[in-house]
Amino acid sequence: MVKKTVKVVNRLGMHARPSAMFVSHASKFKAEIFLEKEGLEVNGKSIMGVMMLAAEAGSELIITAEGEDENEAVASLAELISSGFGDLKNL
Amino acid sequence: MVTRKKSPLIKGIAASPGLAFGEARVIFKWEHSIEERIVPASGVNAEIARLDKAVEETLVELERWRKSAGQKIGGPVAKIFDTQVMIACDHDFLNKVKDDIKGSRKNAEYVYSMLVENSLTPLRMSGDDYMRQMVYDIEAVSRRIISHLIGLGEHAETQFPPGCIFVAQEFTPAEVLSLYERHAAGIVTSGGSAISHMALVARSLLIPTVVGAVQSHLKIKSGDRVVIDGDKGTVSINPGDAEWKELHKHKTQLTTRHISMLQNLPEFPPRTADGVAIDVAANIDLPGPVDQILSQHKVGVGLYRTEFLYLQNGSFPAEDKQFLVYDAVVSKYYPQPVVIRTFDLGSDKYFMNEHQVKEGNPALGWRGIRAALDMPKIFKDQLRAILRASHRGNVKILLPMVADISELKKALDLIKRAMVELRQKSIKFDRAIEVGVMIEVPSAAVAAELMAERVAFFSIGSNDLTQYTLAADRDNERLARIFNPLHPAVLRLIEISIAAARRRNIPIAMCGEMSGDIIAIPLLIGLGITQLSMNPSKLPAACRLITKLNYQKTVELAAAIMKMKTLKEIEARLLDYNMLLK
Repeated sequence: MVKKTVKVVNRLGMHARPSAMFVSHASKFKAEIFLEKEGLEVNGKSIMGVMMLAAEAGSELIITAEGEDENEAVASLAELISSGFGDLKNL
Repeated sequence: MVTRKKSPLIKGIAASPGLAFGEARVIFKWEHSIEERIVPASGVNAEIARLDKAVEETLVELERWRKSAGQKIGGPVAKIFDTQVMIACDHDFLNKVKDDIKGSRKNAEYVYSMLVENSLTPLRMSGDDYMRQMVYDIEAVSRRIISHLIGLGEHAETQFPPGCIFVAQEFTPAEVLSLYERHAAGIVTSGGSAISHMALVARSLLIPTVVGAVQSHLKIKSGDRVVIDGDKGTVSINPGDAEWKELHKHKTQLTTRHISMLQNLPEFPPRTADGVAIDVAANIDLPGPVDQILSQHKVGVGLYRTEFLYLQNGSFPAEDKQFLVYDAVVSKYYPQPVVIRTFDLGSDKYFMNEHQVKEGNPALGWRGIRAALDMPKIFKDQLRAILRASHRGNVKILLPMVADISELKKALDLIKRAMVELRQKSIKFDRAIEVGVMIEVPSAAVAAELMAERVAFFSIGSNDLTQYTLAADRDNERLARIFNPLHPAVLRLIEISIAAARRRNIPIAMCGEMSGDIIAIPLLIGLGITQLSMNPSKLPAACRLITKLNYQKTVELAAAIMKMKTLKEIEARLLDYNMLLK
């Protein structure tokens, strides 16, 4: 099991598009992925779950991965969030 | 074997009298009404298969949209559908739904909609617009999936057995009509108030109803045995077997009580102890079992509400169809007068399809005469239909929610034009037909004088008059104690209207709920109301009360009441007066 804490940097937080990007990316990995915000943990591959977190800009999220490619998964997803979702950085 | 949990009595507000008992059917709203059903153990897999199929069908649709959007608009917009496809395919969520279906043995659409609603709650609460936008996507997808689920005709239970007690947070007036057609035995709502339009419709259909029974739609489960007392406002869940059997034994006596009470109406019209005949009439809606009974007793109609015609069709019916309906009713009551009120529709009462306007304050919005005047063709269709039904001579026209004399003038003008049109076609109608206005907007009461010279009668709509005067929403259960037509301000408006009517020597009726209230009746008679028109179920008690009254004493009572300054004093005095009559 690997955990990492990241901060949401995009101005509008994790609304529909970034949430979808996260889920899309997380679904590529074999490991189970979880995302936690303020004690509420959801399945990272579930768009309904991630959307429900409603993580605004500045909120802290804990990414957890458990399985074969857990290290790669956490590193990659953490990069995605802390970089502001690449081309969506300013959104 | 079904285990039934007995629960303590739920106390609500009595909205429509009568005792009713039967199996509960709890309805949850989600645009379409999503019914909660128990699925037998053998049917669980079928429910899960239905859900999978609905998701599949939704994905096919979304794919079509995505392609089309991609072709016509391109790129970023098409990506909206990517998100929606992702929502529809969310396996984690679907598995939760399936687990819940297996565990609770409830139907797929119910479980699905409940779990979606749970997920949406934190989003709805977010102060952030972009977050709340996600709600849109989730709702769009779930709406598709649910319509596929409930659209499966061969699986969905669109037929309810007769004699059910329907339970929901709220029902609209249109839904009450639909429940009536499904032979509902009774209705319970968690919200609502006794003078809401939904309650009025239930009363006119003689369906026992309890409203404001807080959380009843959560406490009661479909299949529970429910007993409701529409006079006391109580709801009892799963009474013991012995009690249940007793109820069924006396079923006919208990449940037809109100119709049979009408059979035993004393001499009509009733006379006070000192010999004054009081004009009492009925408020009617849908043609129903009461019409026969009332006309036999020579009871006339002080208010014939026509909105149900719109409700039943979801659109304004053609002139000919309206004429047939009005004519049938009018001929039943002939020679008793029938006062037909023109459509009083607006966004607050009924969903008007193509005419729907999203209003911030529907009660103060586009409704009543002002809406009718904005749709002159439709208004004239109704006027011609009413005029045609007047050929026997016992029809009067009543105009709703008139606030200003210009509205009255325009309406009278349209009536004249309708008459010309009929004359040109040599169609018979009552050329001397009387036209009156409702006094329900405070401006009409205050300036009743201005209208009195142009109309043949007034009819006071006490419910709306009270609502507007006291600035209290009639449907707001929290304000049910503020909303009181006996308030001195409301009484003064009534007094002013009566004075204006007297000066012109025209009749002034009252057709709101107040006219059937035995506490208020002595006051109304003493003030000078010339006709009390009420829900048929109130007639027997009202007539009996009138025979105990002394007309002179009611005049004195009214004078005393008008000197009082507080609602409390007024109510106390009227309650005392009522006690002394017994």
